[in-house]
Amino acid sequence: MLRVFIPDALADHAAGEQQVELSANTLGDLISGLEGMFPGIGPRITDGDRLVSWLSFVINGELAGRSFLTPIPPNSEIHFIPAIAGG
Amino acid sequence: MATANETKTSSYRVIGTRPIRHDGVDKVTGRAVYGNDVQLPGLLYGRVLRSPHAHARIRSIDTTKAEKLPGVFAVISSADIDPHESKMAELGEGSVNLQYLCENVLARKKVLYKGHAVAAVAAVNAHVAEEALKLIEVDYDPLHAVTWVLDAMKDDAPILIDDLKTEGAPLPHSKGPTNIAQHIVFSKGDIEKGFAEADVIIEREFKSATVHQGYIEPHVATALWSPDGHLSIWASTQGSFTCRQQTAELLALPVSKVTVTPCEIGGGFGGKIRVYIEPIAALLSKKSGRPVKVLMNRADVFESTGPTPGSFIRVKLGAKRDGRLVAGDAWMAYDAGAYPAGIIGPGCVCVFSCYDLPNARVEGFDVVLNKPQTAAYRAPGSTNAAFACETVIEELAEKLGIDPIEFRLKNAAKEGTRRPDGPAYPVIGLVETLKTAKAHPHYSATLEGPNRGRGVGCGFWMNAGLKSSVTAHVNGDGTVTLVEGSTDIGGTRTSIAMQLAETLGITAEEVVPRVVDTDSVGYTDVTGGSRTTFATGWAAHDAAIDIVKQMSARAAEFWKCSPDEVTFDRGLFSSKSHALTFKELAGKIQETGGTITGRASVEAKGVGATFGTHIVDVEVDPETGKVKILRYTAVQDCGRVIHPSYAEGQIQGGVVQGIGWALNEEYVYDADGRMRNASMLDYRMPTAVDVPTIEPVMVEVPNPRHPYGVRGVGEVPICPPPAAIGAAIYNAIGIRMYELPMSPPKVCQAIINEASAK
Repeated sequence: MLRVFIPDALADHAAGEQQVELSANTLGDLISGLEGMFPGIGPRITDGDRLVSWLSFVINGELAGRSFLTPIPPNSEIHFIPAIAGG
Repeated sequence: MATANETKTSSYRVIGTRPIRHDGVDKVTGRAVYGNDVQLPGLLYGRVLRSPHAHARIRSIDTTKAEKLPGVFAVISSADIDPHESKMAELGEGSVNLQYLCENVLARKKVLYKGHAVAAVAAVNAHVAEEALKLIEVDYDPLHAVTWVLDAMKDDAPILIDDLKTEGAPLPHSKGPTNIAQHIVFSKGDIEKGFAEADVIIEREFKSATVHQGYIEPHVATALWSPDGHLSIWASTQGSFTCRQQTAELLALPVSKVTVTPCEIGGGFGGKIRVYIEPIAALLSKKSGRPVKVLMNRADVFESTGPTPGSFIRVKLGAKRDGRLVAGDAWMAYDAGAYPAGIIGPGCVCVFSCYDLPNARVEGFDVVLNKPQTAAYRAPGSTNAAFACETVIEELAEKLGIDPIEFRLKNAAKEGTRRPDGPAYPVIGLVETLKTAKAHPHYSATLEGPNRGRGVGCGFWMNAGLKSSVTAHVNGDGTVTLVEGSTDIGGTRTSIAMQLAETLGITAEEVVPRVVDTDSVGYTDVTGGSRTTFATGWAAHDAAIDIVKQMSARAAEFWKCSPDEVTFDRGLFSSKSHALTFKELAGKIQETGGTITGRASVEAKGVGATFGTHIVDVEVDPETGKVKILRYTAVQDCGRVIHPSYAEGQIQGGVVQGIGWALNEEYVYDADGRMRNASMLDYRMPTAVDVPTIEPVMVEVPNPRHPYGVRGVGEVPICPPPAAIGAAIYNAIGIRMYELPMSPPKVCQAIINEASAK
């Protein structure tokens, strides 16, 4: 099971839940899972087949890709944090 | 130059040594090829017409007269580039909205800042091109401009982008058009409860000015659009593949039709990732049928490329009497510039990242206004945030009567600490930097004399991994040619080569690193985010492992044994009764199947964040407000240091830029939104006479997730200086400064205000 932290930006879509547990092997699966739990949350955080550009996808503290194909190891901790740029 | 922990505690032979950089001779003898050195037969010279207004509608552009000027080969405007819809393109580190990128390259309906590109000319020489620019007639309808972030957030502010929608967290009270491009909110724990538990609460407001990266080499690009439809670009860029992708997207070309050659680069610091003139040079080349070089002048660089955001930040921190922080609240508004930029994201992540706050809330805004679109600049967003947070930390320590480093140690983030944005830290080295700083002779040295003070400050940067590729060819003489795609800004040819050499058991000098074009190596993300020594170095390590595997198989052929029976240690292949050095075996590989090439493409995970703790002594001239840096010590967790000289250079360079932020650098705008100091004479950057020798102290807390323990080094040293210098000023004259830069006029005014209040 994944431990998914719901960002405050999506609190209005998540009925006040701050964390949920669900199973997913990819970012696409994860977003589908979240949409199943909280209808409407998916479109808020997707742009085509990717995560929206204003969020970064973080697996176990590591920035990961935005593609729906991004794999997620089992039992990972998931965060969505503000998008990061570097110099 | 002092360094700490520069001891060969490991068995490394190459890592931790200081070989001469591979590109050193070329650079000191002038043979290195920079962007402006590129010369092609029939080369034309391009110049760009830029808006004199900070905000205006473009009624019309008439290029007829310019086109008729003898010596002019092509004139372009936005009419020559197809518009793009609002669509995001990934750039490796970050992404870009193609509509905004397109309109930033050549303004379409509106100009949004003074210096916004409007049209361009290619001519037989630069003088003719500049004369032609004067003949282009642009009819503007000037509009009110806004250049202060809080003004741009007001309901009655001039709106820059009519259809801009706020991304991110909802803004309940927002209605109608807005300049707020992004709204960020995240929290941890219960902030109300946290502040209720606090014995001491301090809340302060901070302003910081727009600051430029100040790279010495202006942007320059040469393009050749061949009749077969292939576009070649030579550019000063931090990322050849990123440059290729942006240009290809803007010009609707497949990436395979675009080749980008990264030239040597005279600094970037985040400012040479986004394209500005590359698509313009390409379009001029297409229209003229000739190669075209476009070179910015210094005013172009200041007014038209991405500086760092100016900002307004409010920070509130609460602590118990025993010195434990219990709550933190930050409200942060950053300039986006003319188009959404997103530097607010890392700013929000970094503001409380040094501390273990049980309860925290961070709210941030990315706000468009009439300045050039902001860009990354060395730990983007973090320096503004560190100035605010660290200054309040200093005030809390003073109010509680606790030594400022001791106060930070009580609250320092460590392995397992969860940042307010959520992720928990792996192994990090903030505590080690604080302890090293506290034990450093500088911290306990006597500081005598009037108007002198000492300050400390901390900083954080998360660093990046991303994608890198290398190939490595074994030569018959035992050397290895290392082919890579990372622009070498700070000596990365050598730091990457050293990791290859260490793995192969050869010397750094036996590696021949070559930075090549986008057709000659696998995809490689930008040199930025302090990722190159980490990620491209990792790729070099993996390519070396690939070479060892292949050479072991060759040795097994010689020795008529199984490859499994061949061992490799420190450059020596051996089996039961045989042994060959790497060089000896390299000399035989042509007899056993030919050239051996190692290759690796990595998407590097296991990034190690970096922290720094700085100590600074200053002297304030109460007559002029000038602040003189007397002594500076920068302690930093560098992870495993690959090449100490380059790590030290990164620390010193970052500190000098941080001193610039702290004391002098700022974009000065007039009431119409025009920058009034767009020259190196008037935009005051520190020079050699302004700073003493900066002592870097490298603490090595190796990153356990990298083959050689590498963390990024280059970004974090810019973060602590403004706060540390602000604390030193306070300890010198008793006045806290809350606005950057703390320039002589501002310090002088603060002294006058303080005297008046008494």
